[in-house]
Amino acid sequence: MAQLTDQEILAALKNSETRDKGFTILMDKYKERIYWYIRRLVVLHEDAEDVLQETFINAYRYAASFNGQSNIYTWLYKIATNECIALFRRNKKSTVKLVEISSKLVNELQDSSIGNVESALKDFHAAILQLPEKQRIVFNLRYFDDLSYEEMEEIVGSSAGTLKTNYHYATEKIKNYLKKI
Amino acid sequence: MEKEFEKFRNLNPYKVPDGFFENITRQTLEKARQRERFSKIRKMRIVFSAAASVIILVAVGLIFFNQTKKDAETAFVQPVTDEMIFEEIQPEEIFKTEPVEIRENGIMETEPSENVPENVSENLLDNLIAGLSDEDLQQLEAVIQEELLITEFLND
Repeated sequence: MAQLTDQEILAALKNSETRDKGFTILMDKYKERIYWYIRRLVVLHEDAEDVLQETFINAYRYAASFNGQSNIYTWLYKIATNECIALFRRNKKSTVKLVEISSKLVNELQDSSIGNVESALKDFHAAILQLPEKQRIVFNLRYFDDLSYEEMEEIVGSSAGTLKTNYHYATEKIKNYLKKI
Repeated sequence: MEKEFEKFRNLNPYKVPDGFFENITRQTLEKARQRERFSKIRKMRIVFSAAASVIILVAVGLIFFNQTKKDAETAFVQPVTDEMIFEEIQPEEIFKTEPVEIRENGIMETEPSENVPENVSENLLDNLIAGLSDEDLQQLEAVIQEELLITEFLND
């Protein structure tokens, strides 16, 4: 079967007769990309799986309300980001400090990462996990997913200038973290 | 982009269970369908609950309305009291003085009057007596006793 464009996938998803087929094509196309974005944010596979499923279930249910003005993948990133933030809110207790959350995520990274991975890579990801929530999201979207600031504006809902500042602070913090190790 | 980070860009420290990406689409589609079904059921429940509430409200309203209407109707139907009976039937009609004829032997005789209503029931008299107080009854008894004495005296 010829590769469908995002517009064709969306049209199939909006049509009740081809909805399931459209969903399958959409998920097969973007599941890995969205999964890894989620996984880098939430660290644990079980959480990433839940968030991935919720992301695509929401896409399935609310496809009719998606106007198609932005790219379908930025829409998926936006849903995934919101689901990740919702997960953070559920997990986070108000009394827990950011440092404690970051330490927890780093410990989870040590537990769930590949055993023979080089320590520099683990340190790098540990440094990302030390970042505040928004900076972590911005850094991941820019560095790993290579999204433009215009696309990130749609996902995060901040201006390009703010996102650039966030990214700059994030890289500075990661460098400082790695220097201290 | 920071050059020193470049080497990590395509490296991944995380592992994924085998076959995860092969099965996740089917599982997610199944969940999405299930969620959709639940959502429809929930919507239907809400609609049915709303409809049931409206029906109950209308039923209660109708019952209340009918009861109020019935009360309003019965409010105009006053119970029949003794006073009302006396208003309808004037006492003079009942106790109209009969023409008295005194015969030669001194006995008074009354002729039945055509004016006396024949259909005055005993109940009416009973009601009249029932409406009298104890004092009235005592006075009535005294009057009857006096009349009996006078009748005896005249007969003698």
